[in-house]
Amino acid sequence: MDNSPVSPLPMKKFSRSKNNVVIMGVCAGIADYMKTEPANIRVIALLTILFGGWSIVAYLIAASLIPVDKNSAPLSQTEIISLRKENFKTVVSGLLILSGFYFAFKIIGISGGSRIFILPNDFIFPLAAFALGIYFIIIKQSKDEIILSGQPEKLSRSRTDRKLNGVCGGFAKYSGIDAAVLRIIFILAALLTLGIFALLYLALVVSIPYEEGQKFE
Amino acid sequence: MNNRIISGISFLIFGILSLLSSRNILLLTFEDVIGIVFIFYSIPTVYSALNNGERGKLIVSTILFLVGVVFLVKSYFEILDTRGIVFFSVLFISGSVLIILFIENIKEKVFLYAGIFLLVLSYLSITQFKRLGLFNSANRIGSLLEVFWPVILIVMGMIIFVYRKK
Repeated sequence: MDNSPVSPLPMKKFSRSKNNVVIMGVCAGIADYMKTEPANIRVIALLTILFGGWSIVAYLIAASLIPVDKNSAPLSQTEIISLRKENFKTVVSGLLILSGFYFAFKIIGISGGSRIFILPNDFIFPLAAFALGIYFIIIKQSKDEIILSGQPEKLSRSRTDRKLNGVCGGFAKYSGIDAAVLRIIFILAALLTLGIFALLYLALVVSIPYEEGQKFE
Repeated sequence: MNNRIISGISFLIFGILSLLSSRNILLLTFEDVIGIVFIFYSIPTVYSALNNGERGKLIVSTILFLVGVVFLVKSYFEILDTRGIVFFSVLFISGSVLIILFIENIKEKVFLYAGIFLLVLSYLSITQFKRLGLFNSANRIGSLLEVFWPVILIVMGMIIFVYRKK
């Protein structure tokens, strides 16, 4: 029987992510420490702004105190691009959910967010816009943003990304817009125009052929 | 000028105008500010998207431009019944987007036909549809969306979140 003492597991160090960064990599660091998806932490962090915005201050303090993880291996160019796309979608979805809850609370009358920090909202939103504007102007445009993601020359219905007849899936591929977003917009437009968009959909089904060289899923 | 700089300047304009209007230095409503910012952002973006063949950006910036125009027109002409122009605006904006997609790729005639169809319908919607009482039904759906639009935002956000890796 082996009586040698069991060596304790190496303690995981809490650090900011070097590769998976949206602002300063704090959320990805927390996710890595808690062994969960960074997107979940990011959306939760965005939703905490509803409670007065103090989480922004907490984030900045955390970013200044927590060191960056220097041991992580660098990512390849394709990994960076897909990670950036995923992070962009996460932030957009988080902002949509945040604004949805903000306005829902406002309509219901549970408006806890008339002030963020000690400033009124009509002062904080212009300041946030200033900050975003300066951020967008000073950061450099990376090379991969200029490369276009090979959009098809011909519009065709999708055989793989389809719910009914693949019109939205095909249009999403043609335009580079997310198919799910297009479907929601299409349904809303059909509701608002009393089904005119449903007629348009049928006309598009008839006039647009299926894409070539692929079988049905 | 790249897209980041255009976005950055648009945010700065939004910040300056909304700050000045909230302090009553400029007499602008929130709709005016949004309209000005959307139009400022969309004109150079449409130009660059057309040059680079970025269709997604082209669609979004065309929609933003027309929504900006609708906001400014609504504010300038003091149109109080917003729901009355939703039906027309949806048809006109979608038709214009399809026409601009045809301009970007003139081989796709389907965009031209669908765009003309929607633009003709948008014209008919302000001249003929009132007589048929279609507006009342559309307004009822519009009222429902007016109440539940935060739910739509949340659902859209959740769908994008679920499909973020696709």
